Amino acid sequence: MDNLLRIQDLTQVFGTRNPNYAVDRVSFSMPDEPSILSLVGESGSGKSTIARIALGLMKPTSGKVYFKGTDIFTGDRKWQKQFRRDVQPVFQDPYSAFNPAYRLKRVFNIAVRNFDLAQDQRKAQARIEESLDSVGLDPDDVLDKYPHQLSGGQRQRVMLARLHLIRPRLIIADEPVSMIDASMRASFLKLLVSFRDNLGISTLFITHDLTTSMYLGGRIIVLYKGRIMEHGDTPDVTRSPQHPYAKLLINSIPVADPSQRWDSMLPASVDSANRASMNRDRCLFAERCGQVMETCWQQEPRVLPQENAVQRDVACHLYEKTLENN
Amino acid sequence: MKNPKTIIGVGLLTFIVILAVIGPTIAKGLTGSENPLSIGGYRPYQLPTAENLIGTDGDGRDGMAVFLSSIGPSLRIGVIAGVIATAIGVTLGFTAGYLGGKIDIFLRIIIDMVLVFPILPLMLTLALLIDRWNLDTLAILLGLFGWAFVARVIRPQVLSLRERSYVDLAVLSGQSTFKIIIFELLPGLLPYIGYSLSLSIVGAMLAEAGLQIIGIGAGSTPTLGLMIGKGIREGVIAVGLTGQMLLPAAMLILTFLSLNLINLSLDETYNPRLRRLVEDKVS
Amino acid sequence: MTITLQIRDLSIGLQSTKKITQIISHVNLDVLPGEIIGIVGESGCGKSTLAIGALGLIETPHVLQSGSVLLTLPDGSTTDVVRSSPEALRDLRWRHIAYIPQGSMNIFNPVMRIRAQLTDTLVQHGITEREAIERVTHALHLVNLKPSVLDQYPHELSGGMKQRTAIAAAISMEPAVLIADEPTTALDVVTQRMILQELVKIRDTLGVAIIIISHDMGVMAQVADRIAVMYAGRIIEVGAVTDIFKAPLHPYAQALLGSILQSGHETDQVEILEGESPSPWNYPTGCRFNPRCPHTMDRCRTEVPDLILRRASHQVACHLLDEKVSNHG
Repeated sequence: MDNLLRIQDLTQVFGTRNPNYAVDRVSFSMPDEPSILSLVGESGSGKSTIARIALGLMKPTSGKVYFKGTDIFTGDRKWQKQFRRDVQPVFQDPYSAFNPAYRLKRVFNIAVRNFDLAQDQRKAQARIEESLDSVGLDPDDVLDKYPHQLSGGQRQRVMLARLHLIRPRLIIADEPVSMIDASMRASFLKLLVSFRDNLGISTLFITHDLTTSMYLGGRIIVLYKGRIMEHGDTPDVTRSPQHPYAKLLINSIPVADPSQRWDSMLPASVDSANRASMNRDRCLFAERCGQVMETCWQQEPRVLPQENAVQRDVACHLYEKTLENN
Repeated sequence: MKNPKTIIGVGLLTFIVILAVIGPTIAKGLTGSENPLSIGGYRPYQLPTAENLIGTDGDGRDGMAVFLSSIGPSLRIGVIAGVIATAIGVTLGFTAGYLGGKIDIFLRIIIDMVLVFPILPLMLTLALLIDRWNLDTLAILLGLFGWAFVARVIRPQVLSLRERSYVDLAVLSGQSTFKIIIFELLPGLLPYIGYSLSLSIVGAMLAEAGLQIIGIGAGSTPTLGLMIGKGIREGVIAVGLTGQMLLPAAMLILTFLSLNLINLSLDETYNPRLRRLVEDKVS
Repeated sequence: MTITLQIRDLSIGLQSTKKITQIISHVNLDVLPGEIIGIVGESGCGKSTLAIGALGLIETPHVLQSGSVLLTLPDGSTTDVVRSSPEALRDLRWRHIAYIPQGSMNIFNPVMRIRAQLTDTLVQHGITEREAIERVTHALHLVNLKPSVLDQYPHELSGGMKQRTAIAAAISMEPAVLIADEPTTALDVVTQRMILQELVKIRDTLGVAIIIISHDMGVMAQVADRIAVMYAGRIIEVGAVTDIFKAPLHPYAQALLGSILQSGHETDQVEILEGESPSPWNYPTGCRFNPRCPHTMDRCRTEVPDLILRRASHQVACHLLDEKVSNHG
């Protein structure tokens, strides 16, 4: 059976004089069974660019994106229409997610109309109300209102209600909870999990906040400057990260428990100013790595599966050496 | 639409338009003649009296009659030039902002060239060369050069609106490009289009006034600009006939004011953050 | 023991054309010498307004409605920050009480080198140029930055380095109190850890009290000694960090802690808090949390609960605890 989503050697370069490799030969896939995959990285890691490409909003410099086995940029009109229905977004900014000039019911009506979601007005209305109910919103509080009359958290829920209505196969969520209050995040993430478990909808979840990925479980990819550093099951990677960058990231999360405080200061190498060399034929994390070796500066580490961990890929010379020695 | 700005703006504009339409009729009534603008109907440069409320001008015409007959033609120039400038400016500005890339670069060069083009010498030359040089021709030409200002305002707005998440959402909801342009982008542009239109209209009216002052007028059709121009040339203020400058100038200002008020209220309707401030004040 | 900063009954409002809307109400808070106290609350709870009040930066459209902020000076005397004249305030600021505002990595003038931007304030306080450079270099050293930073322009520094420079500027006169408003928002998690550890080191070295304002409970757990929880313009709980995390008493604090996403928590354990925090224009009467509180009583809708000492060094503003006392007493 084809994978639901397959990203192959995806590359996106911006600019010609000082080319910025936002995404650098990234490959991964999501299976047909409903699943959640988190793309985690800081700003500049390429995660949002990957999301936009996977949604079909922009064409990559090179590489391919396959949805249910078909290249999303070459599928015919009919296929494209189905693709649009099968892959839907959640955007980061609830304040610009809806056109401020219209009432919120328009968002749902357009979806119903364009995706043929109901046979008549009455059935459509019923389905819309059902979707709003399912995310804990009262239709009377939402449909006739303008976006600015709702809070950020409520607006993100309206996005979820829209998704519930459309029932895509895949949700691509770009930082969906970073702009809403902490107390509302849990309920949003819980809904994403229930979408997977009860409706069979997969989510590609983009975030810089590891705690949200940990909550969701599933699989995780750690990105750094456009390249994959580590890829594995979320609980495993967060419990025992292998890549030095992943370790650094996970150890830097401020644990909300005063009895588990950071025990040591970070090494000075961690903060390097903008003096990165232009050479890309090396490990891009070398200048900040506490375990850097000679070879890290000379050769780009390949993303290799690990033997000591189930379904874990790591791009690091530390582990390549082990393999070669065997 | 209970916004006081809307009410005052629309009210003022309606008043001006009505005045423009019935102006000539009132003029006939005031002067008691079928041709209120006939030269020599009165003695020239008379100070204001009950009969000649703002006195008479250098051609022996009742100042008030001239004023009332001038509003219509001035508005007409403004509207013709304004609509042409806005139509071209919005189309080209939108195209540049929406399509980007080479088309945008090309259009930006054109916009810059038109902006720096010396209109005055061109007008002078054309006024001499063209046989049927009348106010409508003048208006069309003003429109053909005014579009660059409009495009310059519209283009960056389109660039910014294009990046909004709700535009992406519309794309991903299967909306056609046409629908996205009309229903997603245009509402955000309406305040700017309105603003450009009012600016173009008044700009054209003022430009015509300016041209009248330096003598590139077009015949005898009375306009507010012509009246101001004559006033300056003939030094009416010094003679105590200030009203003949004041009234036409005030009318230009009122026109601009009314258009601007409507604009501001449009902005509030389409810009939700402003709307909330207004609602808070009112509640 | 002397208290470094005493906020008493502080109320600040916002002036609009028709009326004044109260943002924070009757806030009482003590800041002890050399402690790191965190003020935690969600967006819109008034914590930034509290910060500007503590600094005496109350300007139109903000209005002081009641209260005082007593700062203890090195000689032992106290001065009321919110009632000081602008000249007195200018002297107080940086010398005794310093501020790192939100987004302070953006406060630098892009066309000036760092050196002048850091020494300017010191020179304005009457310090010689040479001594100013000494102090600034020392401060940079405290935040692990090399003196070469002085010769650079802001755009040549990373976000983390700019934030550290802002901190260095704030501590260059070794004030008694440092107020840091969301010092690590917009920084990545690794840089955040670095900055927070620097702040603790500064407190350990200089003995300066630090007020950290944040919405992030994780940050608070890592660096704060005590925590004050704010909701809708009021402080509803104050206590030692371990007490607040292990045994929060106010229903809002309990819900806040329950909603933290951390590894090890299963999906079901996270509690969902319904509703939204009220804005100052819609503050409920009585206890402002009453519409969302799972334990609301009639009394809560009409009577504002006072912030009362319930356990050792643990204050809570909640009527529930009265009931519990009367049930047990």
